[in-house]
Amino acid sequence: MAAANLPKRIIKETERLMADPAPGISAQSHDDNLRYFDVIITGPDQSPFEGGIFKLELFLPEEYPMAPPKVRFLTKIYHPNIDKLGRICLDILKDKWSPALQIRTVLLSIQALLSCPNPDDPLANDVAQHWKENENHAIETAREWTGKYASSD
Amino acid sequence: MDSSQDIPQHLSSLADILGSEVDVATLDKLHALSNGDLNRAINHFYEGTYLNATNPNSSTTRSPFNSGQISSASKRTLTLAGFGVQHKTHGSNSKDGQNQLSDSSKRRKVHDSFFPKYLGEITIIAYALGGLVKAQAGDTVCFVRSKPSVLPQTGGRKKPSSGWGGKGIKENNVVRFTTQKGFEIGRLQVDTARWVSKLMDFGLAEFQGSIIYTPPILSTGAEIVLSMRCYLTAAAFSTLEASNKLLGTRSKQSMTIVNDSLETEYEVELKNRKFAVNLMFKELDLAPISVNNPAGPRDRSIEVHSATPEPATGNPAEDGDEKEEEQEVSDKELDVLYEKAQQHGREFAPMDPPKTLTYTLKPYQRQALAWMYHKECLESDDNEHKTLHPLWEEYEFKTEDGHIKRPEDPTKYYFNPYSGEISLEFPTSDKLCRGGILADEMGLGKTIEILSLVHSNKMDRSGLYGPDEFFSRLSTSVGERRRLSPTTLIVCPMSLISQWRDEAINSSDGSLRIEVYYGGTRDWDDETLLQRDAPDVLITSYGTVLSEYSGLVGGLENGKSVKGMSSITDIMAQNDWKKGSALFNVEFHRVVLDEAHHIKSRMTKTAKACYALSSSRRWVVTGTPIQNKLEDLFSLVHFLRVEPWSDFSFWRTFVSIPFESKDKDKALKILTSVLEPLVLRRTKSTKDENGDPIVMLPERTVEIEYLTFSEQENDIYQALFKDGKTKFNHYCQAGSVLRHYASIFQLLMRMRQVCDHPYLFVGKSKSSQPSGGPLDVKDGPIQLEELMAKFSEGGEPSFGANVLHNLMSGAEVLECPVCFEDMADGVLMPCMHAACRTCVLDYLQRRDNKGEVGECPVCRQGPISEDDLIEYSTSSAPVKDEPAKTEEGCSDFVAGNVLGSIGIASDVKGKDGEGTGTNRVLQIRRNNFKSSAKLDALMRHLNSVRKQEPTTKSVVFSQFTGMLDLAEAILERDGFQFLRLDGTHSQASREKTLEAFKNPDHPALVMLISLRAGGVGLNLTTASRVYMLDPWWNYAIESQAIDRVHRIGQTKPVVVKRFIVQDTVEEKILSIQNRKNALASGLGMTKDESQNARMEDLQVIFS
Repeated sequence: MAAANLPKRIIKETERLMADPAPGISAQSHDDNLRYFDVIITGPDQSPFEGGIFKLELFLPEEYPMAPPKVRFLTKIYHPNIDKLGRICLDILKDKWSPALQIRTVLLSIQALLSCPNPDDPLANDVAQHWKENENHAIETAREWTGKYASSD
Repeated sequence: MDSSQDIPQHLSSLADILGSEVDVATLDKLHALSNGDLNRAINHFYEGTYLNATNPNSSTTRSPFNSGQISSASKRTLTLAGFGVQHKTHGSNSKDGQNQLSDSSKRRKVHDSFFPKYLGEITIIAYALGGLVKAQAGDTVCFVRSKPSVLPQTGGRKKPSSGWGGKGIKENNVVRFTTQKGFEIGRLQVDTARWVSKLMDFGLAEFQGSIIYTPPILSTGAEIVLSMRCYLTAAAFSTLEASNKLLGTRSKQSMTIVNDSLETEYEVELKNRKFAVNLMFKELDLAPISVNNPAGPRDRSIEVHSATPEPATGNPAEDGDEKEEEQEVSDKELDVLYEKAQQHGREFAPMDPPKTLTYTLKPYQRQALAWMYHKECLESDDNEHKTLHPLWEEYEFKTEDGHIKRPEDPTKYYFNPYSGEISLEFPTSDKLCRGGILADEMGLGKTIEILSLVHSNKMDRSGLYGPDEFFSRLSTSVGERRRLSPTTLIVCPMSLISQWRDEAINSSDGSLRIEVYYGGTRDWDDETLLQRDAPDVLITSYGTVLSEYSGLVGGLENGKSVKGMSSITDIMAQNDWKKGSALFNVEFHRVVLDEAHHIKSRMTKTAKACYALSSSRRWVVTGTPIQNKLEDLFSLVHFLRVEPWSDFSFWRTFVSIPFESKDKDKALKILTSVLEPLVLRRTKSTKDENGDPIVMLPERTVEIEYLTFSEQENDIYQALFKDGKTKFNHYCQAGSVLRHYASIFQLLMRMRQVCDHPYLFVGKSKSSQPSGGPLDVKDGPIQLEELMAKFSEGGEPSFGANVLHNLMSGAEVLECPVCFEDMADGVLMPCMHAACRTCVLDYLQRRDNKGEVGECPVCRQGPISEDDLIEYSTSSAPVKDEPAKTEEGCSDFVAGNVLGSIGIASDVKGKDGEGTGTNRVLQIRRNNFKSSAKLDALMRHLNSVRKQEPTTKSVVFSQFTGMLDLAEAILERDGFQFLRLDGTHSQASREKTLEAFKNPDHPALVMLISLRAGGVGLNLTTASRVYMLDPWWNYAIESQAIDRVHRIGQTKPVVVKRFIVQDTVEEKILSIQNRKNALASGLGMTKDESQNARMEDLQVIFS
């Protein structure tokens, strides 16, 4: 792997993520591709995702940090801002990206998104509809999914 | 003339003519001898025949004109008009010694009755005017210039021709001929009258005639065949010294000066005179018995053609404009010319300089010394046997029938067809040029070669006076001695004075006295230069020579009305030579002009000033004796006084005209023969006798680096280009391109400037600048106070203050939030968040591309633009000597006095790792600076070189000083130390700058030089990298600049980068450079010759 042309920033971020991980978040880069991270986010307390362990993949594109990282849930999750394919609707991953943001801040934001689903800016329309029409039922479904797909075995 | 009051009526005319010195008795005797014929009387008088004559009737012989010949010398008939003009001359000529005439002049050595001297005879056809006059074959006729209504006799002293008719009236060439009684018979034909009239007007010749054939009835227009004899008057035989003064120097000068729009009356006169005399020689069919013309026998047709005077505005062939018109010399032709010059030096064994020269000369330099020494010394031997001056021709006097030749009379005379001078004295070419053109290519050590000559050939000072003997020498006749100085005068551009001085001092063991004559150090008395302890070498600038010269000439011109140009001789003669104008008041042992192409234009005052320097050993030193035109060379030759080539009309006849008329081969052949003995030229590639190059210089790599505009730059350029193209096409269609050269060139200039940096074009006009910020580089540094004030108001004082504290204390090295690197090159955003400049700019650019306003990447505060950024950099040392920046202080900015940069102790490594442990200086300035493709490329190279070879020095050339300003800004930004040299620098500061750059310990790694200021002479061998920011029309100029670095003394390989922006005018310039015809001479935009080529160039550019 050509680590030689890896920007210093990525190396530093990786090191810092290892040395000082954020609570409930872990990210580890692949040995054969230092731009590719395996990410695990634990579901926040008092959320329908509590107790779940969510796997994500994170990839730093060539333009990073000028362009945002690409992040996707691998674990199925019932969330109005996350679709079936695991894609995430989060402004900082799109137009609100700033190069001052980092992997850590992105993952923290995703963690926060789990705490506060936003059905008004949906990605998964059916889930969002469900959330709006019957929030309690929707939360229940989310819990079920968490237990079904994101439980640590 | 005051005629004597006692003169009887019948003698009064004679007395009028002969002057008051002649007593009444003599007049009476003459009157009797000549039977009352005025002309005869005069002849008797001048020939002295009346002295021995006793019988009034015996001396006049029988009918003198049988067969149309004059049978007796005593019967010469002089024209009355000629008499009038020649009156004075004759008066002074009458000093045969045997009579009582007083005479005021003792100049003539020749027997005075020698004049007027018979030259030859021709048969001409004239026509009659009709009338009642009787004339028959054999009759003597007189030729008259004045109008028939005015009796010539009473005219006595006719006014000089310049009074004739006045200005604006067509020139009057009419020559009439009359009977001896003064009755008009007819006129000469125009062809003849043309020159006869001139000669009569000038008083150069006299004519007498007789009728060979006449029709019985003189009807109007009837042809009369005349025999006309031509006699030269004494005035025609001006002595050499007089002619030098009158014609030699002046005619040369007049040729040199014809450019001054209208010729003066005097110059026209000279030209007319030359023309007339030449025609006379031709008509009389006189052939020289000897010539010494290096260009072969004179072709009369050429000469007469070029000698034909044109009315009023002067001869276009001699008009100064031809300088522009003259074709340029191609490189190939130059090669041919120089080829011979390269051979020189080999025929002389290398010569060792005396031990007083401390440098060891290279073999080729010792050859140069041998050659120069030889040139200076050997030719003095040649002076022993005199050779004919190459401009002159030798003629033999024809014997006039029946004239008794006195044995002491001269038999030969000399004619100079190029000036129209005639002389009885042998014109020697003793003014052989002792000197030449040292044209070794730049970097071969011409300076040291000249210095070795100074050491080798010194003047013997024993004949000079010491300072204490000053008064004793005053008593000797100063006027008669040559004011010889033992000093070698070196004239060079101001920028090179110090280089010469240093080299001269360093190369000498101390035995040489070296002085600089420049500016304030000019408190020289010319006497100092004549004394025994005069300096060996005196170094001065062209400017100094010029200003002393203009002081002298100017002073004279104010004093009196100068007719034509004053030669320095005139001034010397008329002016009390001012003290302090030492340069022109002595004859130097040797004069050397360095970078002599400074005088390439013979019309410039500088050139004239240099011509006027006096010395018998004259050298010019230049790497490019011919820059574009053959005329360039003429000026050098003229300075060297190489006869005959230093005569401009000669040069024109044999060099310029053939060259222009496509007879180039002949011209080049002649030129080669001129140059061969004069020029020594070796190039870096010249091989020695073993076939090895004479100089081994390190390799030199010149690479063109093609750059691409940023989008923004491209927009600006394209807009400009379209505008230019539209205008150009418009002009093309209207056929008025040539009339709009100025505006087209302005367009071109702008396009070229934008290639460097849009700011150059946009300048300071805020409105037209797309990014909205003014070019205000100098205002960059801003005060911390201001910042503090701003942030105190701005809501987050504590944060802002913290940031600044952090910056200054250096306790914490800020990491860029974007790239995570240390911010060696950081900017603060208005919110006081900091980041690398490049990161922020990159981010802002991306946002801009997406159509979004800029904002702080950290806090998203916005909108912000580049101009809002506050730049700080932690370079390792101050960049410029501005005291504010070097001030060391820590936290007293709070006190309100500290400007935007603070030195702080820091042990932190900078971005480039060079700042370890040194005092770092924090600079804070507004980031209103925008880079450009060129500057980015430059910095990329400089940065990478600095990283890899921290001691390597670089030279950056641009033709735009504005570009240098911008380069300064960006160098500051990246923490480079630099020096700068451009036209605005005084001599002292140039010296200082060059000195600093040479010093290996000086921290400046970069020298910024404007192409024009740094093109010549400088020695920049401390650098081994060259960056040419922009191409010049003529690559020779760039190459010359590069040679400042790649010259003798250079030890490292030289890498040259030429930056060219793709798809712009710059690329086109490259192709034009290759074609070399081009708009070469800068903005020279006048003459037809190159106009077609230029049109093509323009079409290429705007295609």
